[in-house]
Amino acid sequence: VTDRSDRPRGHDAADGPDSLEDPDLLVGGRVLDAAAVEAWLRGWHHLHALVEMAGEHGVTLVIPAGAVTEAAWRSANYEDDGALDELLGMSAVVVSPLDRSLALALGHPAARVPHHDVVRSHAYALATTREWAIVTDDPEPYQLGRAGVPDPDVELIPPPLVDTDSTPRRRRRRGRHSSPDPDDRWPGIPDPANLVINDGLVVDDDVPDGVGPDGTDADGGDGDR
Amino acid sequence: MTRAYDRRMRTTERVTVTVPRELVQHARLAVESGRAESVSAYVTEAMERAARRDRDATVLADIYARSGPPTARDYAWAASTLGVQLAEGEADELARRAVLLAATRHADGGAPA
Repeated sequence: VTDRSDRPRGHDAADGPDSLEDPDLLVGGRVLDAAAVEAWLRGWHHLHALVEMAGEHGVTLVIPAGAVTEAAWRSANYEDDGALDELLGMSAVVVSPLDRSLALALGHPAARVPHHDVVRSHAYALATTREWAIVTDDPEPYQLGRAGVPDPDVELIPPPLVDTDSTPRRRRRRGRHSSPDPDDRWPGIPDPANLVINDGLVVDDDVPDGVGPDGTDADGGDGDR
Repeated sequence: MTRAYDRRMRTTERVTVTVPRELVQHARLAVESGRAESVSAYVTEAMERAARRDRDATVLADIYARSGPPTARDYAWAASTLGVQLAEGEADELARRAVLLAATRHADGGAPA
């Protein structure tokens, strides 16, 4: 994953229990959900254009940590395994961690709803808290209430209508992790029972505490005012 | 305190540059109003932004060379999604620029190591 240690304060997703309660750190943005990230992996050009323009116009694109996990898992299905790293290294992109309290807050209600999608729940929570739209290539799970009770105030931005000039050139690799049904794009997330949780804390080495590298934030009093 | 200062001194370099007087005035105003710690910090932030843009452009050029550039329609969708107002013909211009970006990478022989 690209080193983003030079990112200025305010572009790093806050971690800790208040990660959803500090929206003022980010000026404005959109949430990219797991389907949008997979569209990037598939090489869809509208996502390329989106990330390019977001970087140029200072718009933050937040990806829920779970969507990165899902994308990393699915990236084995694609020929270009480096595409996810490229996306995560773009200046507009920020990964929003899933901390302990948020994980519990999203997970408990999910247990009571059949087919609940906890990864999209995180995207939904980010969108509702910050009042940002969700960019998704698959709005249906939200519309069906699988990410939480549908909120009419949450804008879902679907992909553009298919353009034959804009079809992805990246071929899908056959083999492990392939869905048994080629039309089934979302067979589900890995069984949580198989995940090992050490201490309940999310450690993301790629997202520092917002302080720039040494020497980039001050001039040591060299009298240049 | 001393160690932090030493560390900074090891990782920074004093350079002399010539910039328009108006921009220097902007930087000084930013310092006076508290928006920047110093003129150096102001310039550093601007250079960091430019460096990030350059890195983005390099990665995107590689992607466009590999899988084809976005079309004007893609840019129009992206602008609408981000709430960015495009001037007439700007989406076409962005698409042309992406084609050139991809061609540059092809000419360079692809992605750098």
